[in-house]
Amino acid sequence: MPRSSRDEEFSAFVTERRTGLVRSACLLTAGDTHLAEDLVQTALARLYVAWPKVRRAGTESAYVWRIIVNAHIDEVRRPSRRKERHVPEVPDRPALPETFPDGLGGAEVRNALAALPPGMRAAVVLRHWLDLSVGETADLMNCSEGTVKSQTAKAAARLRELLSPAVAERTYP
Amino acid sequence: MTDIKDLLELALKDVPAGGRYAGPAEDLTRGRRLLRRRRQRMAGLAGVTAAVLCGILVPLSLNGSAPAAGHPVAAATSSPVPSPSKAVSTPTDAAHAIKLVAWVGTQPPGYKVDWMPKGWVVQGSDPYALVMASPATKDKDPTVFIGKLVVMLQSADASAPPANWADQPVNGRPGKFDVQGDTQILIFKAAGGQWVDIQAPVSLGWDRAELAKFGGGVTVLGAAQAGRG
Repeated sequence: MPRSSRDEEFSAFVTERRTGLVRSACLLTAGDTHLAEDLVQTALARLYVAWPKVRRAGTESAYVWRIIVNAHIDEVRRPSRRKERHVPEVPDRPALPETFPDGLGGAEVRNALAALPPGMRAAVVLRHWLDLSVGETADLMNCSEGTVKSQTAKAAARLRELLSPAVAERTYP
Repeated sequence: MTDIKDLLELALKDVPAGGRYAGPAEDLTRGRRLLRRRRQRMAGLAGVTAAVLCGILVPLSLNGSAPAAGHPVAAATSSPVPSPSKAVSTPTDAAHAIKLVAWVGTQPPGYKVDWMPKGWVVQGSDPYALVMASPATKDKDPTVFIGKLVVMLQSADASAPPANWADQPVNGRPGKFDVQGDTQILIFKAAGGQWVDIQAPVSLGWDRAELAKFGGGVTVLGAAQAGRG
């Protein structure tokens, strides 16, 4: 039950934004809703602690996303969560289509997202889902604008590759 | 399909939306808990810093000269400590101590309280904490405990008060007392078996007996809840 202006403002922010935060975090986690919920809970608790300062600066969303992205990268880097796939030989690379194919299912896309390194996935989500600028994304990910551009371009190319019919058939039969 | 945004929308299409979310209350509780933990940690660090500084400065001031009247010389003597509990000096100013007066008005949720500091007001109360402060206190946020009198149950993550604190029984039941920085802490066993944690600013001017008197007037009711951390 809210009992101070901090509580009231924070509650209003949570009520308005929480569902969207969890949905967007699901993209970072490639569909892992439990991990997405954990990340958002962590970020919101820390936002509450920093609320007066963050509120004054008007940077609530950026603060939450910075925590979500960094917490996710930390989580994925934990040895117990590493799920690298080893293949016996480098697959042939067919010529990449310019567009993504039609008729894809959600699970296929999430599998492809899961195959991206977490930083690359974060760059795609921040740039293309949250519509942040290159500068904002770089600031949030604590990297250079050049890194954001290259990560986003590589991610798009990798997704096209993974979702092209020939590769998809081999990877997700 | 040409757009990455379309692709991302597709990824979320069959992911359950929102789940069991039923309002901001749980996030608020988690935030308050984290804030409380941070503040307690900060208060602890401040106490340790003060103790370290005292350990350095008091021996320096005593070196080769008689202590000034009123100095806490007990902290610097080498006489053996008579009890396994650590000796705690209570830096009180009895002449300016704020008196205890009978509680007036509605009782807070979770507790029945017999006493309160004269002229102080209830800043906030819920099943987790009762917070009282001087009306002149600038910080009106009831989740900030610095300089305020707070009654709460000991954290659910702690089993008992630290064994090396000074003994301070309350109503004949076991209790422990310590001073950390500008805060006096009294943790005692309530009649129902719960450990009650009272934090009082040194500026109240209370000695241990007065704090124990206040604690003795606190009855834990069924609605009281312990925090975590």
